[in-house]
Amino acid sequence: MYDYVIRNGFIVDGSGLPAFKGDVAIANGRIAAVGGVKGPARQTLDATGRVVAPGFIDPHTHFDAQLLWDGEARPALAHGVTTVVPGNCSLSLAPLKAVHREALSGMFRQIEELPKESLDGSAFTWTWEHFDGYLDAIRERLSLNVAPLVGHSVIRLWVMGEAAQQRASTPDEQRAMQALLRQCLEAGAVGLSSSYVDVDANLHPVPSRFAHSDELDALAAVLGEYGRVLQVVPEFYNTDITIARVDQLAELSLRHNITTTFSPLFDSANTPQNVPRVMARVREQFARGARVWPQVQTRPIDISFCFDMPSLFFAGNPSWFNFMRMPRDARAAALEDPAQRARLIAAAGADGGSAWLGGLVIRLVPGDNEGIEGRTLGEVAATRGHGCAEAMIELSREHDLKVHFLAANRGHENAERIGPLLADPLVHIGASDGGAHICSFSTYGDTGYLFSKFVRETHALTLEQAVKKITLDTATIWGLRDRGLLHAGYAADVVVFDPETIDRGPERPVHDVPGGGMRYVRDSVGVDAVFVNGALAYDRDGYKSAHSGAVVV
Amino acid sequence: MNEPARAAVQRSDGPTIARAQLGAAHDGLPELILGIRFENGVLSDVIVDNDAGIRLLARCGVDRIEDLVGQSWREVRNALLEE
Repeated sequence: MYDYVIRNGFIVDGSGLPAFKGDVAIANGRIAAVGGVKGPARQTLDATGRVVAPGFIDPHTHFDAQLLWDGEARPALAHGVTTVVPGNCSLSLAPLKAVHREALSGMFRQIEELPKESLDGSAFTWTWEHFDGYLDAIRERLSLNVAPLVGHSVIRLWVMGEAAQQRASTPDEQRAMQALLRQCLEAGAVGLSSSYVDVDANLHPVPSRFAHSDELDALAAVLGEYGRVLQVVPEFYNTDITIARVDQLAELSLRHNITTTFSPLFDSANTPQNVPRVMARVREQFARGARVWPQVQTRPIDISFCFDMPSLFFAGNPSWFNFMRMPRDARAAALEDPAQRARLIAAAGADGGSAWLGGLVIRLVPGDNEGIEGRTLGEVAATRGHGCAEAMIELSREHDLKVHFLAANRGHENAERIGPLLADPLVHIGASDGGAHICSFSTYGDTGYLFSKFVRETHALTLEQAVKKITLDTATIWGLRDRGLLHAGYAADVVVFDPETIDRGPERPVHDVPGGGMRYVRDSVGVDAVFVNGALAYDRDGYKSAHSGAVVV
Repeated sequence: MNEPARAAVQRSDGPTIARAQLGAAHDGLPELILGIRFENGVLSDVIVDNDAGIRLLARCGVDRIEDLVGQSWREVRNALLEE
């Protein structure tokens, strides 16, 4: 007797081979059979017209804190993501001495934009110091799988204390870090993350940035003992330094026989040679036998701003830019002056700012009594009988300058360049940053966007290629041995979706962060059912609190 | 460009800003992407975050990104170091 049989679907099994029509049987948390399945089942799911695929794996997230109150990492699970890798960018919530909690919370708040209350112990109880204790704290409520990285910065903080943000380590300290890393890997860490970019709440470099190369080499040697992964954030804003980091990672990969990955790698019209140059060096290093996987995100980058903070967005228009860089109180006062408002409106152009501002999306309106979140400024201006500049000014005045606007697709947006990059066999699709930057933009739905934009619209990847990229390829790169394929014996992480509609929904603000914080999310579109280790964890009726997730390596 | 800014460009020595464009940063904020031309002809990109970019325009006495062209690299350095 099978637990489930998913019948009559198009099976895209993660291998990259062509889809075929058939059934998938699940028993005891595993794939029991694939193809024409005979025999009874406790429950069946009709997948006619739907794709049945392995659950998606997101290799770059910051769900470390969220998993303490939300074991479904909402809305990631609803998008078909069945395994997440938290602990990226040198930051994890363990190992962490109690005395360092406030310091690390500051780093998390800076990077993830979480309210203080979400990390001060009111949303969860700090019960751990060691890595296995953190895993125990999240394990019970997990409804998706977690392959956690341990952060280089917290390892440094544990061993060196305040000196972790002051100096390089001594040989004794490096030996202590190696021992601590071994403990974490034994407890279930999938690897180590490091960063050359991130800063803490005081804008000081995070501890990993004070490490010299010998320290990273010593830690990579430990990763080699366990066959685990090294993730690094390089100085991605500079092509030459990124290439140097590719070389450094390649040497570590070859010396210690480890997989390395770096993220992010962005394409931009302003720096068109960045991706070609970095990828050329990645190819050279793979040809030498190194493993240096660049992570590329699927979604474009948007610019967001509000009148509450100065923004370079206006630096193409002197009148508006000079207004925006006034002190905050002067800026608010200027908007109350009819003459100044008239000057700004005139400076927006003869069309009232329609061409310049009309396409902006209104993202966040405190209270939003008009129901205008998600609409364009042009639409709202027309409804109000205003020009676009006037509507923007009036909205900001009405809400104490706290209305947020979004200029969409301003970076990493050229599908003709991004599509082939995502399809490149040496590119690792990832870098979603799920759970981070939550007050600035939504980091959920990149998998749906992969299918809607790059499979259906531009045909940069076939359906089978796209599924393989975010299932078997990811599982292989990260050493997740029984995930990423719909083959008998593999873990039954399965997503059922409509290939004609799967997508990410529109971005919207929600207020569900402990402590009253808001975040932007995108709902899933076209995902019918998600199984995690054989249990139905999500379907169109909602989340199931299946608690079937596991810590996986 | 105002007169002090124009004068600064004229007396500039060493590497200068040869190109300036608005870009989108990974964290959803705008950023400046500058091309710095060195004396030997090499052009190198430097990316400046939103806050430092606003300081750079103020330091240079300009209110349009394109007017940064010709300014000294020292202004970029100082805008980045200033907090």
